[in-house]
Amino acid sequence: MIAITGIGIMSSLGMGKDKLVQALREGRSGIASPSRVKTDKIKNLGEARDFDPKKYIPPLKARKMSRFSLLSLCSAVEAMDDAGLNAGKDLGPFECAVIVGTSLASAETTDTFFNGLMEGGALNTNPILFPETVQNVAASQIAIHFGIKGPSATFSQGETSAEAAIKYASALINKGRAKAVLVTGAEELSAPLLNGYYALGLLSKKGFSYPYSNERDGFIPGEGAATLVLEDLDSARKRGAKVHAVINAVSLVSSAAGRLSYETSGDCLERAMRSAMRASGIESPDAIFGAGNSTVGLDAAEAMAIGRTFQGRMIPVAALRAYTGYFPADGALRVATAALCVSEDFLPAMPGCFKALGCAEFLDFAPDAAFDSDNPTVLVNSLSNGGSAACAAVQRGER
Amino acid sequence: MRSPVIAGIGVVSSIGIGLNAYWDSLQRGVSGIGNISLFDTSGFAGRLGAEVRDFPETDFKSLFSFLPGAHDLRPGRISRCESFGLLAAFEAIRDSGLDFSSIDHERVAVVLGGGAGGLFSVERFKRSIREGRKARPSLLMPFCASALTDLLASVIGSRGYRTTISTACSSSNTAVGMAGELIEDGIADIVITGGAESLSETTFAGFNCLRAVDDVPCRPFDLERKGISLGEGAAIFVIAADSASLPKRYARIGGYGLSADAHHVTAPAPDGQCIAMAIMNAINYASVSIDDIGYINAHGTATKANDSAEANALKRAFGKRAGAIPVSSTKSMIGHCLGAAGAMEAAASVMALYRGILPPTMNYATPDPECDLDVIPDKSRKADVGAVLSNSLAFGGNNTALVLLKA
Repeated sequence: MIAITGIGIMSSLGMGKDKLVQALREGRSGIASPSRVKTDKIKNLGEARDFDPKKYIPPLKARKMSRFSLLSLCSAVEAMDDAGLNAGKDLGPFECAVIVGTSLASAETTDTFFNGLMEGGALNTNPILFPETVQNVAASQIAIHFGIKGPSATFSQGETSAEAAIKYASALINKGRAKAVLVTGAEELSAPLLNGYYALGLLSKKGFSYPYSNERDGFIPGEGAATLVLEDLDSARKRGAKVHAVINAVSLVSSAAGRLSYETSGDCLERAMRSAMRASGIESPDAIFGAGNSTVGLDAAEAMAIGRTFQGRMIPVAALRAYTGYFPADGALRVATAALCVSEDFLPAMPGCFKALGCAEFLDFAPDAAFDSDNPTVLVNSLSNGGSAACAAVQRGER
Repeated sequence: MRSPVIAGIGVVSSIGIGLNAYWDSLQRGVSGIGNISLFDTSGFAGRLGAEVRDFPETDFKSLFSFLPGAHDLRPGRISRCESFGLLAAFEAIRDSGLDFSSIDHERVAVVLGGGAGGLFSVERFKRSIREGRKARPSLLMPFCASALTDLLASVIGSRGYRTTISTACSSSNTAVGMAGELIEDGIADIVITGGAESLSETTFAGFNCLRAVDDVPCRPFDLERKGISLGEGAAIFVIAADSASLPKRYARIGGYGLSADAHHVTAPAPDGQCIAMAIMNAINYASVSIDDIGYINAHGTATKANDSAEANALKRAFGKRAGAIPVSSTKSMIGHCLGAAGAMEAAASVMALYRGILPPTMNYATPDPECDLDVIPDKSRKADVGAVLSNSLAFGGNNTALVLLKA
């Protein structure tokens, strides 16, 4: 069994996992008008407004890194600290691994680098930027920072990027190829990214993120990073590590879907949920942390998938993307949040700022509700445009 | 345990379109490295590259009409990188002789390695806008590394595990290794794997501004080497379990090993220790002995740093035998194909096993005492080997070693 022994989170709800928990308990969304990112393409964003990398890494080191690398590395620093692990002392460097999930990496650095080429030719390209244009740079920065030399990989599969990373990391531990794995899911926000989303007609014009509501018209982009430290549960207990939660299963399946389109019937997500429950040996979760991102397509597909899978049973759904906005690799953030919620025994309702805009029944529960069960299980869903789907089953570790 | 077998192969390269043309050129030492016509390279110190020339105009919708998702293939909406991947996939699927209409699609997985991918399309978009011309937003769609994975999976109608590895130069080597693992673990019965890559101005400018591009065709392991030659292309494999009824068996995927250098965002750790670890992980996974390896397809990018580090790694892993095992860099002919490199070099490695001929290292004039290896200079060599090692050592220290075995 895979234990989550460390969690680090940088998001629109603040720096650090405690800020996230506080915001969720208070029903306070992190979506607000643009501040760092200068844009006229959208009214609101889930920017990580308070993000200050200097709190976690030396400024000289930070200067050379993209925001994508910085968010990733800072969340990893918090997670390793939380886990109480020193990659050099407690474990050999080859016994630790770094696995990252990201769909977009630093699109801004690529854009800036290419702008230099377009504007001034070969002599106008900045060598400091180029390494930060590659997708695996965050994994590299994390490995360098901690001196971690075990297996490393970066997964880039749209909205199932983080789950692919979590599943692979779990397999590394189960197969004895690593004793501890840092898994990070991260994306950064930037003006060029927003311009691209806008050109493709994907953004919310109304400017809110209210998943599953009748008024939804597109997503609000967010940014952030979440790192989980994963270990074998028995090993974690032996070293006296705190166990936030355990991951019982991660299912990854797929179906045909057009480019930038979500599979419409919800069949693919239904298969992912059923498969995760089978693998975990559970009949029914205590809650679902939904994938709903306030788009017409995804939310409808997921609602149908949930309806068919749990016919008649009303499972509460937490719509976290109403709090943070949406970014493709936020699966790690939602799994981390699920771990914190089962551990601290609370279930986030919709943020207080939203009036009921055709509220789906499964969202209708009291703010700051506790779980009914003694040993709650949460399913964390992801459905990607392009056709992949994921479901992770998270359960409270024993107290 | 089910052993993964390579049942079909497709290749698109600068030295030939199709597996037979590719292998024929590799054996004969034919190089695809020359002038680039895809974009303006004036102003760069290193202007050469291995461009895929004479790519046939292809109606992919018709080509794939025997598969359920062919209607997803809209002309004008397919990037250069995707067109390479699709043609290679078509060849691999046909080559395998497997009937994709009658298989359980939930047991078909797709795992590809990605690199710059659709970046070339995004560059066209940005240049058009800058020049005041209208640009189709659909040019932005193939930006994500997963674009080809999703497109191919949709065409085939696969409903199983699907993912994309994005570790720069080692992406598709890791993908091939993972594909084998999916078969062994019983997660899939058939896996489509490999990778595709297109030249792009960003990568061309990027390697040039790091002064990592040679102004002559790259010279792996040569004393005078000054850097890489970039390339493009695709190699796609159909992998199945050895228990299946398969018309063709090219080789078996023995295993793979990963490690991280934890050293620098671009330069490899000079001592090669972590690379050696990846190699030993792959050897152990494949349950072979280090002495079983009869040929090594090196990462051999022809940068000063890579080739020295890799030579050191081989010495660590193979000990006294290091100088005697034939090792060549096919990048000397096809250039560095980034996201497709691992797969294209795996294809060369598979054919070396299958045909008993080891491809050469070209452009080798002056031995480097730091790389005192048998680099198979200039001419391919007949050799019946049972196990091959293929290395891919990426930017940022993502090292992947792949072991392939006779079928």
